[in-house]
Amino acid sequence: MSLLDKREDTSAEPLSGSQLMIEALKRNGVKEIFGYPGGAIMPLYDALVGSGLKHYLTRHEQGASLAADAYGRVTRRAGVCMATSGPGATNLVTGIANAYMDSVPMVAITGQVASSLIGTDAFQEVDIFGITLPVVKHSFVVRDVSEIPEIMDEAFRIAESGRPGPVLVDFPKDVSVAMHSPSPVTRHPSPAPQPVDEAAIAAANELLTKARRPLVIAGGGIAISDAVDAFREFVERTGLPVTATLKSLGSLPTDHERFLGMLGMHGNEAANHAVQNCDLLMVIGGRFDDRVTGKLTHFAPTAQVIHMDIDPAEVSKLRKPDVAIVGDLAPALAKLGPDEPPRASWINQCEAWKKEFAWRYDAPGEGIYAPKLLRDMSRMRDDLVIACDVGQHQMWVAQHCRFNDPLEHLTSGGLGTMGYGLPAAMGAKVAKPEKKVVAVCGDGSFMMNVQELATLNRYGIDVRILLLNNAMLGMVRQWQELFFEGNYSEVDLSDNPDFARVAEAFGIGSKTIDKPGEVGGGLEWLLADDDQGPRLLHVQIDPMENVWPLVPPGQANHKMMGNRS
Amino acid sequence: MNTVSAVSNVTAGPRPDVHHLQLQLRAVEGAVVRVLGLVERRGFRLLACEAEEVRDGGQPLSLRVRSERSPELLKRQLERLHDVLQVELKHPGVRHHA
Ligand SMILES: Cc1ncc(C[n+]2csc(CCOP(=O)(O)OP(=O)(O)O)c2C)c(N)n1
Ligand SMILES: [Mg+2]
Repeated sequence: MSLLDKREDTSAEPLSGSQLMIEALKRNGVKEIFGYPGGAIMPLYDALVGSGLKHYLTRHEQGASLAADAYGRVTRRAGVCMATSGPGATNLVTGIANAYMDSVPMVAITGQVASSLIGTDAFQEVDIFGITLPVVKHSFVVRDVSEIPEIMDEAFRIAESGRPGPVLVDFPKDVSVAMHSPSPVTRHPSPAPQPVDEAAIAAANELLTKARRPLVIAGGGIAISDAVDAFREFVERTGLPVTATLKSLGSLPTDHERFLGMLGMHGNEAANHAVQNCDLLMVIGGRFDDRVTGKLTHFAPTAQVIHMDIDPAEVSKLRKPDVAIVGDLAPALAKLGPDEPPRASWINQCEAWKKEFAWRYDAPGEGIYAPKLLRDMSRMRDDLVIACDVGQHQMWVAQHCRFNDPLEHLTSGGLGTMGYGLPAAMGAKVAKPEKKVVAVCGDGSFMMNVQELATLNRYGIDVRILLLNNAMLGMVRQWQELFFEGNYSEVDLSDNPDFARVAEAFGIGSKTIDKPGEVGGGLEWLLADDDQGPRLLHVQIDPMENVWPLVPPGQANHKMMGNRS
Repeated sequence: MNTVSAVSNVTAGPRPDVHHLQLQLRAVEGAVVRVLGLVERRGFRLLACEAEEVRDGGQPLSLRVRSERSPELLKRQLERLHDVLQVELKHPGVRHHA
């Protein structure tokens, strides 16, 4: 029971700002926090002791904010991270921006120098409020101790409502030690849901009924708004073919008969051909990202567009829709659908593409073929959550892993943050201990948050790490090969440390494999249900392997380069 | 539909890429910089900006901006900010020349 609940009136005994902050976190349902202490935030760390909140000390503040991001994704409640002023706060920024770009609920608390020192270039003073303005949904500086309960309730409400996002709360040291007798917190009722726009629904249904070649793009908003069930019901009822963005993989099970795969730069050719040839595109909770559309003016050139999103600022930002349905996805989806099922000729065409461009795993070469390894791994178990880093391996995960739910795939879509995988897996495992969580890391990315191995070890967070080591910044190398005439510049990582020994040094068990025959055993070991805790499977792969297919930057999506082209 | 015949001639009438926005903000820390930052980041050049005296806890702010981008989209992006209470897009009222 929290201190505040016990109080009846304003004559309650005074609490410090830090105690009030802890109470506010608890009142908002927080159980776990990722953070790192320091001077300006010491009073809050003092109040943390014995508070009942579980704090995970990461080994870099970026680890804390990225872990909080993943925690927020899988729980759909704000993940919480905290850090001290100055460098602690700036180290959080990448994770905050990551959450902003992918619409993830987060509350980030930063210590700040005392109010009287703000603006004097005091020790460890930075204007983190100013630094983060463009990458937060909202932010506060707590100027008075009496504001804490209301600001914090507001912070959580803003972070979690509508299109979610990160909220920063900057907490000056003097405010964190000031005493205050709080009045009982009045909880504002959440606003009534907006009614569905019936006129837009009717217009959309007319387009759906008239369309000869309708196609759905499932976007990240489906998972964010908890509309997966409504979306699946919609697809079953209408029989429309579906493609998905990176963030929506799993909205429809990967093996679903109507699913054509991911579209876009590294999408499946079937999906891209369907988009380029459809006459009606229904975009559900997506935002026409350039990695999805390729050259915008050539994207789905013959299609009318229905765009569904809760954020009115996404409508007509990049592509003007014929019908926009602004609001919560699930209730709108329940009212949408054509009068007739899609024409057999279109479905047959989609199926033909799907067959023609199905992934192949008969790659030549002696070494381990990462796409096949990933495909095999994701088919070994039904309960995998895969968090990945950024690069070629990230695209291979998206292409070749099977997902039954979008929350099984944690990927840095909008920001493309190398180093996301390990802390994200950590945050997801803390939030969902019953899941088997795998971090699929690149050798370059892994080194960006390698210090979090210490966090896994300290708390026994049972994350399984699959490190795909091509001794290369592979994705950059691939672009240099294809678009810079093979002029390789600063992509060689052949002097990587011995990753297996690195893991061992952190107390994490490891194995190294480099032959196809070792893959089965390696994966069994990696995913085993035992109590040996976190572990790392280090896989050496061909440095020159590329991700296919690929839409060259600035090209139309059907101009895909493949390994056969 | 407005037809602007003398786009390049500023004296002949308002330019179609210049827009006037009247905002009402919450009078709280950061509200004005948040708005100005967004306007520039979203591709609008700030031509004029006037923040009037705060009254009833509200901060009136008037902006003149220039961009090829859609002012309606800018309006929606501004409305998304938590401290923005209201945005009015004043149409330039293009004069028609005989
Ligand atoms: C923090 C950060 N810095 C730089 C980049 C640019 N970048 C994108 S992919 C990539 C290479 C990633 O290498 P690795 O993690 O080894 O993955 P691989 O492509 O080899 O699978 C780089 C440098 C980025 N996305 N993020
Ligand atoms: Mg690599």
